[in-house]
Amino acid sequence: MPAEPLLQIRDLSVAFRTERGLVQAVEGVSLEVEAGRVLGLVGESGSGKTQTLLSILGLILDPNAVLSGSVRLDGEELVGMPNRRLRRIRGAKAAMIFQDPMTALTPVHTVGWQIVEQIRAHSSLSNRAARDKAVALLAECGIPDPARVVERYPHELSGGMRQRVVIAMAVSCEPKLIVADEPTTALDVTVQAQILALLDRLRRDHGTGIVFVTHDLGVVSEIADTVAVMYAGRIVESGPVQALFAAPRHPYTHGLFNSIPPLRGPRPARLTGIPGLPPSRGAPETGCAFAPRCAYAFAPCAARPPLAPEGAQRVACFLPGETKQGFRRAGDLAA
Amino acid sequence: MLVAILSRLGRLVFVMFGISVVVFLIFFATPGSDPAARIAGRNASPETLAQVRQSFGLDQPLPVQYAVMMKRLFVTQDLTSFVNRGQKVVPAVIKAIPVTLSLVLGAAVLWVIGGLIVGVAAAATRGGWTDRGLMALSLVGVSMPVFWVGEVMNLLSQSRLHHTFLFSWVPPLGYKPLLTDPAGWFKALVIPWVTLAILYIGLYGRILRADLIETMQEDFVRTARAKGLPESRILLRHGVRSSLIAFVTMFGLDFGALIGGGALLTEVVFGLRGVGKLTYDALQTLDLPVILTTVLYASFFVVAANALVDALYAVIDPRVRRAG
Repeated sequence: MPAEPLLQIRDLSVAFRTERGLVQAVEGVSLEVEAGRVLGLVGESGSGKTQTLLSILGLILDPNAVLSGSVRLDGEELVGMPNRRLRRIRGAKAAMIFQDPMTALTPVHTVGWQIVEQIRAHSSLSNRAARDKAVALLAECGIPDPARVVERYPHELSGGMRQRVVIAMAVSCEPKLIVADEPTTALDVTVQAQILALLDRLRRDHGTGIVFVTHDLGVVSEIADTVAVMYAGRIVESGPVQALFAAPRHPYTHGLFNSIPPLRGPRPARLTGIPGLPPSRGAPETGCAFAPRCAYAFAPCAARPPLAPEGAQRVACFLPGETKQGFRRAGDLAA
Repeated sequence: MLVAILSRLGRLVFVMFGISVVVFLIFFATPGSDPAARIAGRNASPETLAQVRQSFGLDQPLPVQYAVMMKRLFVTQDLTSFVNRGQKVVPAVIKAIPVTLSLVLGAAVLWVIGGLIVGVAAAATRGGWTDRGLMALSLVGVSMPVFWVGEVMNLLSQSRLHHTFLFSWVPPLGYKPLLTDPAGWFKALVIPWVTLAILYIGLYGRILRADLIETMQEDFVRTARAKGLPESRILLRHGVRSSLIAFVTMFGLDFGALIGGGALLTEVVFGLRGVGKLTYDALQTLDLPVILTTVLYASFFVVAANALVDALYAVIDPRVRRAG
């Protein structure tokens, strides 16, 4: 029996009951993350990335949410697990890093207090020992003068510092999995690079698996081992980062890459975008969700394409292989 | 820190000075309100009026009158009532203060605890039956006039149900000093406390519930959940702790106003001779020195309560600390 990956998501669907009926936010998503590996989950706003991420930790608390499928972490099924048991996994085995460090910390407690709180929720360390550990964690996350920073309140720290605190908090119980929801989006580019380097180091040092949600392809190329591209709640293409970046096979992925201005050579007067807007949820779709915006759409697109293996990737598109191989791009990012 | 306290005290003195001037002018310099005529009584002869003016110093220029008034109020403390000749005003107010303090402090303890419980319980069960029941009850509490509640309480505890085990312990209306008769003090005040607190429990519970529900949507609450904390801890240590600003602000205003005489209706209904009752009686006879004194006294507590609230802000919200 082959060893099960650290995180295995099978056929995960998240739907919300609304007045207009059931709205699918995530549909049939399957993902895998190995220990010490980084999965980049890419897609535009509203594509279901964050909902996928939240459902891993059972953090979708909307009473109207309907969750189905399977999320197995380290061999344990998380979907349908009672909240009491789930709580002991959150923050301990699997930790989460949020998008906006400015609002992710409770404003009325010192950052040390907040880290200690998490450590003590999952271990029997004394207050003192937990505090020492918090200082060590902050130091590990590259915070200068950590003994003083633990006494600080979140508003006294910069955005980059706060995100380091959030990361220190996330790794405080040595989780096997970190799920990060656009952890660098709210930060300056230079700080972004530092945070990415920090996450990469933590992954190497502790063998942590990371699910990294972003809409920034540049960030993905830097940190991820594998990529999954989401569109309208489904995965349209996935595969190893090198292969996918060198030769995207789904028209949507291709469109994403085309929207990046070239680093060398003349710039186009206008950036190429993908025409149209993502479909509004609610209207039940039967065919390929991307077809209305797709320049290559043809008759078979009225049915829903399955995610099928193709080369090193898996692609959900009916286009013939030769057309897709034409998407190859002069890869600045893949280099 | 010391500088902050001193500047706060300075502001307090300044505000009180301003209030004293305004109050003085309203009572002594408003056209048509001749204090001498009031003291001398109806149909007094011009000679009597002149005599009264002279003996009360009312024939002097206004600034002198003000200075004399303040001196008699704060330094010699021998300001006497215009109505009950010979009654010294300052000792009368000082005697009334413990009554009002006892009433308001006890009620404040009740309403802070009650408001917290109602607000947290309602927010925690949002949309459920507990929430709806508590909100309906609090609306009833807010809507009932305090004098009506007080009279109903009196009717039940003093007459209709006084002979039953429920209310047989209730003493006759009136105040018992805490130091000489602690048990009597407590028994005499329990019903007034509850009566006064009902309105505020409803009010504070609703405010806290609204703030708490808003806070629980914040990102940091999601972080707390992702940390694997128990829901009760998230609610209390992260939610309630971050939603107290409005609660504390209201408390400062209400507490100051009540101590300053705003508990008047409760005091009258329960026969407690506190500052509110004193002001009430003085207003009926337009007893200017008493009114002046109690208004100044009230302004002191309103300003002092606000200063206390500012200090509390710094305790509950570290973001305020540096700004101070």
